[in-house]
Amino acid sequence: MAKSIIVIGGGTGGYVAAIRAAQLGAQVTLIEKDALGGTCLNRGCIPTKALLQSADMLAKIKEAGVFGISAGKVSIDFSAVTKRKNAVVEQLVSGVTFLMKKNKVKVIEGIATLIDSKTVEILGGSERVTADNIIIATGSKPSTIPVKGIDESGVITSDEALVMEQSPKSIVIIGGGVIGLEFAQIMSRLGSEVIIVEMMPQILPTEDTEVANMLGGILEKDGIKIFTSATVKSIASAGRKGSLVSFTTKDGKGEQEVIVEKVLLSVGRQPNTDDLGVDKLGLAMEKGRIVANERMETNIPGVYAVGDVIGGLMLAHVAMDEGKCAAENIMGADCKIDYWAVPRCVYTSPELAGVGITEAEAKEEYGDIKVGRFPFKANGKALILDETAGMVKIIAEARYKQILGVQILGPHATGLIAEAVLGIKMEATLEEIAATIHAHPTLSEAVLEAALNAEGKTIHF
Amino acid sequence: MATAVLLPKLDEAMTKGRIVKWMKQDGEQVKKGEALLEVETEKVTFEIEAEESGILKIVVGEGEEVPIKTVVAYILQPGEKAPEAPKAPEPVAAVKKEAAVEASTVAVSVEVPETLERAGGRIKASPSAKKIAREHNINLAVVRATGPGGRIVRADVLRAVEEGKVGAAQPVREELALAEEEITSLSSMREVIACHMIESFQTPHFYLTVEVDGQELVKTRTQLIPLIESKIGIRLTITDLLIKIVAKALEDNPSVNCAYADGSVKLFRRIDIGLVTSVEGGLIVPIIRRANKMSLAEISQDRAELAQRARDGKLSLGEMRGSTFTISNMGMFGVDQISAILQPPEAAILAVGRLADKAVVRDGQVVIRPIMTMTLSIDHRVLDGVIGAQFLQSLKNYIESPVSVIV
Repeated sequence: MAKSIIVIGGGTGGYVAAIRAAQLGAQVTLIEKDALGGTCLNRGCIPTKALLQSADMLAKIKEAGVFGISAGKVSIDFSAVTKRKNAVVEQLVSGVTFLMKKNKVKVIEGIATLIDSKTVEILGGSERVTADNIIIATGSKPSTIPVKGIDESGVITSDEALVMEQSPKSIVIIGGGVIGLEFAQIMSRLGSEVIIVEMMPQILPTEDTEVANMLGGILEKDGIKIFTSATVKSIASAGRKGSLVSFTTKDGKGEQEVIVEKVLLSVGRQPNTDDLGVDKLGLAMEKGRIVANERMETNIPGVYAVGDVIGGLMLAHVAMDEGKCAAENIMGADCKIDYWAVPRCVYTSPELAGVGITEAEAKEEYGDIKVGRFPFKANGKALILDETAGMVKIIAEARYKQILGVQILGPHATGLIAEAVLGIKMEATLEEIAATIHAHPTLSEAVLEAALNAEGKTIHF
Repeated sequence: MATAVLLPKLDEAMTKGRIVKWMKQDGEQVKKGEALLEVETEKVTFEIEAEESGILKIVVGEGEEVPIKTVVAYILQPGEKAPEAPKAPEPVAAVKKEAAVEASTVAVSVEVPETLERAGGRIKASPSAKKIAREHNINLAVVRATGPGGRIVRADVLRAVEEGKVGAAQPVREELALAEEEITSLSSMREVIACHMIESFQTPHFYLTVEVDGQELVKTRTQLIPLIESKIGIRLTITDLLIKIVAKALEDNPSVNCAYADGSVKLFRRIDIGLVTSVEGGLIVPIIRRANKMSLAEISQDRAELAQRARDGKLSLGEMRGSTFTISNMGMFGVDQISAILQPPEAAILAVGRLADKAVVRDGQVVIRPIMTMTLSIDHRVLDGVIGAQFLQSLKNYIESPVSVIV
């Protein structure tokens, strides 16, 4: 008899687990409360990037003159922008639906509650599903903060921001992380006045300080106001004008008050275990997340958990790998997740991508390190693209020169990072990159030159 | 369809095997049931027979070591070609080459082998790992790989450095030294011995030594030799007598017959005595089962048979697993005294030196007696000195008055 598996949640972690398990011969039932594809496809990665693409296209056309092209008067049709975003999402969702059919995964629409380690009940009915194993992939939801007035009607999260019918005149974005920055650029480019309020001393607090600050500078030049080490004190209604936001700046020494149309709360995401019945099953939890080991096993034998619901790096590509791993382990393999080389991407323009550790972390862990930098303004292809902002930064330990971290701020950084991800995963040293021929003229030459620079051998700078 | 010849898993603990010899040539016609090759595992060698008739296509050559379930050859029907087999040992081949594995159910077996291919093959290691290995003069062939596809990663080499798998780091004169060194890869047996030794030395243990008067033992043996020889045709040895005596002493002191297991003490009700036996290229430990229930003649017969089969390399793995106490007798090699290393997980081992005439004092007179030195090695996590001393006292009493055991 084939093994049977229930997957709770049809996001990237869940549907990948379902496909992989089915490929290995399991009978899979997937339960999704909303739309297949989860946050990533419907409310996260994909729609935000679709909006960014529109914003980027607008910016490109405005700069067409640089390339000798006169584009005339440019205007934005916000409803068409939304329509296109929705079309991309719909196509991808139907793609996932097709993959479920192709792999004979049974999809049930509903909210699942755990009854025991082998049984799940669909809420609102008496339907019960049983299987040999359960994979929990219920994802995450936007976090909130305990600030007075946070429930005001003008305060929205990324969920609502994605379905807005037009760009607000002005907005305060609380939280300068990936989500906050991406929305900041979308809205700024589509005509909003944007203020970012970040509690930590830098935007993108987990990224390399130098590179994050460099991106901050670029965004500020585009007209976005950024306040770091700043804390929102209160939000109050300002009638038809919107909301009054008060926040302290410079670690409490200064204070600001602004009236804006909207307030976007983007202070991170929290694991979603609503209605799941984790207590009933006795699932081990820690700060709201389900605890899973490197094999994706929870404390309950036979029950696995993957993706945002187990916390850690809440990234779609991590969830996919975890989903695959859980499925393979159920089917008899011994897969262990390795979080050493996970790319982190910000899709602003210019893009920012990082893998491995930052300069500060490397210094603390290894002491003696080598840092190589190469600016895109010295790269031929970047000049051709007229996208010369940013740089490649490579960090290696000094003794064996193993590459520990790479940050790229610049055009197509999120794609360029792949070379660094492979390098870090394979424990490459500076020499491997330096001795690899990179095509000319390409943006990837900047990676090569940064590796050379770490040893003082840069050619083109 | 081409029939794959796999390295079988003969035993729960078996993870890999080395191909000693191909009895058939590559491309030769073989018949079902014919012996194809000889494989060496940890301690035994065995033959693999052809499950099908056809033409043999060898995949893994002689001298190579591969994980269990590796395809070592194919038997082809006329006109057939061998599938593009993953070159062994590719531990995750089962996952990567799923298409080649027809079973649609669970074709996932991700076993990372203990070590990589050694003889002549490519060792996969990350650039960083290679550099560290070079600096520390570590042979990558002895490093346990944990990376994807059996790749040696930085952490593996750092672990090897910590475990001291370091060849004496002498970069100067290295070439000179190399000319005077011969490097042979470890046999499976030596590798197991090496692993056991490391395990043993991690056990907190200590030694107790006593001298015993062997006069009565020698006398008893001399009396019994013709009796037993006429009965079963085997010449009684001192070792046989010691096995009998140790079994009796273990019955009297049952707490010594134990093992440390995951934070608890496992007390054995059975008395199965392992006997360290020297064979070519190493040593193995055949077991005299239920020695306390056996007569001296039965012990003698069992011991002689096991020793012979051990020398011929014909002992099964089962015959060498699960002893509860071990004796290492080096008396016949002229050794006065030895301190043996524990046989994990057993908590004690008795090492016996030779019987040598010594001047001792008996009733106020200096007399010459055959004296034997016995050393008990003890795992201090489970046994204490006093218990060991009591056990040794029992042994001493029985050795000095063997009749009480035999009758």
